[in-house]
Amino acid sequence: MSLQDIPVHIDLDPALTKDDGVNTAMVMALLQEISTHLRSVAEGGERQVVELGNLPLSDADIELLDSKLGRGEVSATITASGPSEIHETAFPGLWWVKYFNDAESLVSQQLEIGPVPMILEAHPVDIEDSAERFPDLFGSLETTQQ
Amino acid sequence: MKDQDLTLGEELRRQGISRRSFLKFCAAVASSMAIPASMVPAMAESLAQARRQSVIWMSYQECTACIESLTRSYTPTLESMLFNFISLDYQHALQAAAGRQAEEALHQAMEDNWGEYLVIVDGSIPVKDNGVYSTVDGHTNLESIKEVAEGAAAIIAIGTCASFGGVGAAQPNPTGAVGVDEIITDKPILNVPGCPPMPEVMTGVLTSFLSFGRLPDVDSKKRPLAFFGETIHDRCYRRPYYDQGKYAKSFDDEGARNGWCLYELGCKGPITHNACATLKWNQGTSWPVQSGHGCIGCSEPDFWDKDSFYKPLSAGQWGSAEGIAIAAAAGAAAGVAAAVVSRKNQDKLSGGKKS
Repeated sequence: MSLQDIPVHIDLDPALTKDDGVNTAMVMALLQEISTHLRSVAEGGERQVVELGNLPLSDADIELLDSKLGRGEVSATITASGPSEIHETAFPGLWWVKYFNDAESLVSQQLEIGPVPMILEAHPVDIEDSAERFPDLFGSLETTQQ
Repeated sequence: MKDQDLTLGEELRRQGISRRSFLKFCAAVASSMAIPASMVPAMAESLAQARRQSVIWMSYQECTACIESLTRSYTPTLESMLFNFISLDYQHALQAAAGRQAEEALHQAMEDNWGEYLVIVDGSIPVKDNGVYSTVDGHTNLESIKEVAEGAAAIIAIGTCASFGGVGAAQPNPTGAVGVDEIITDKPILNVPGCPPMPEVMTGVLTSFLSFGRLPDVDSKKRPLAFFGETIHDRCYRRPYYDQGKYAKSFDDEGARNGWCLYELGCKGPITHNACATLKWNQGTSWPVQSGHGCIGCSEPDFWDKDSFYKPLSAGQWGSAEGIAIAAAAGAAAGVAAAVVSRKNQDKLSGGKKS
């Protein structure tokens, strides 16, 4: 059962859910932090993640950041406990990751700096599970051929 | 195998929930708690090794808004994952059992998990006249909390009533209502105030208890620093207007329509510690200030006995010196300061490891 199963629709103008804040100095501070992270990852350092949800950013700040970082070659959608959206920015290795819940409202968004965002990788436990389930395909193939 | 014998990881696997979903849940929790995102994979691994936590929920002098709020954390999918992590063994409003059967369930859960169960309390506890003003099954709340607390690993006081006495303790406090920590003094106690409290705090506290094996770090009022470490004012998107001296003077003037600072209309943001400004309410839809109303300070003790919600802090009701001093301090440095405090919390949780 999800919110979509409830036959009540909220007709909400997306413009109303935006705050009416102005740009703050946070964006400049963030750009500096990202720059440091990109340099360290470029030199072989471990993955870095900058959480955007906890910073006092106005919606205007987020838009400014988005326009400065731009879009790169990759975008991906994950369906696991609601959607997640990922896109590479115009700077390879700098990813914008958005986690949505079932109702498609944003739960958390992060900038991730590294070769691949962690949520894209399959977990060893899940791979082990598929290795166990996969041979079931053999049986199903024989049935259809008969 | 009993449910409790499975690790949470095995339990999720049995239900066909992928580790990717699990990782996403941990990412959402870590995000709300200012836990460095780089710690999320380790947190997920540790949580996967944990077992279901027995939780006993005691409701005393309360209005049920706390549980109304908390059952709405993150909406269905992510929330239902939390309910895989805990075994809610006793809760008046949600359990099927009633009367004697319910009380038997409570005592069975206490016996089975003695020393390990978590107690969640909502509502204040009356202590005047030996606590006769609120009873369940012939026992006063006062007797009940002492009995249940004895075998608890820790206690989480949910809402302003269980934390500080709340509305029940409003002047003249006819029942002698107090918060849990005025009665129980020998157990770890965490306060999650708010009227109602934010659902994400509950999810965060339970998840971090299961992952790290302890309650999170707290402030002087026993509130988790990750959520209550900063004021509404420090995290408010209208803060730049405060710094520029742009104030709404009435609820219908030009300033109000332009979304300027609500300080002069009585906003208690500068002295209220809570996470509304970044987490927002109703799945991130909005929060009081964004809707055009000042913060009423509901997560602070005695907030309703401090005169009008609409008098500015500088008028003096809220411990005048504190309110004015804080409001006057360090305007332009605020945005940077908020980021520094946030990083400090992260460093603390990661044991000083840089995120």
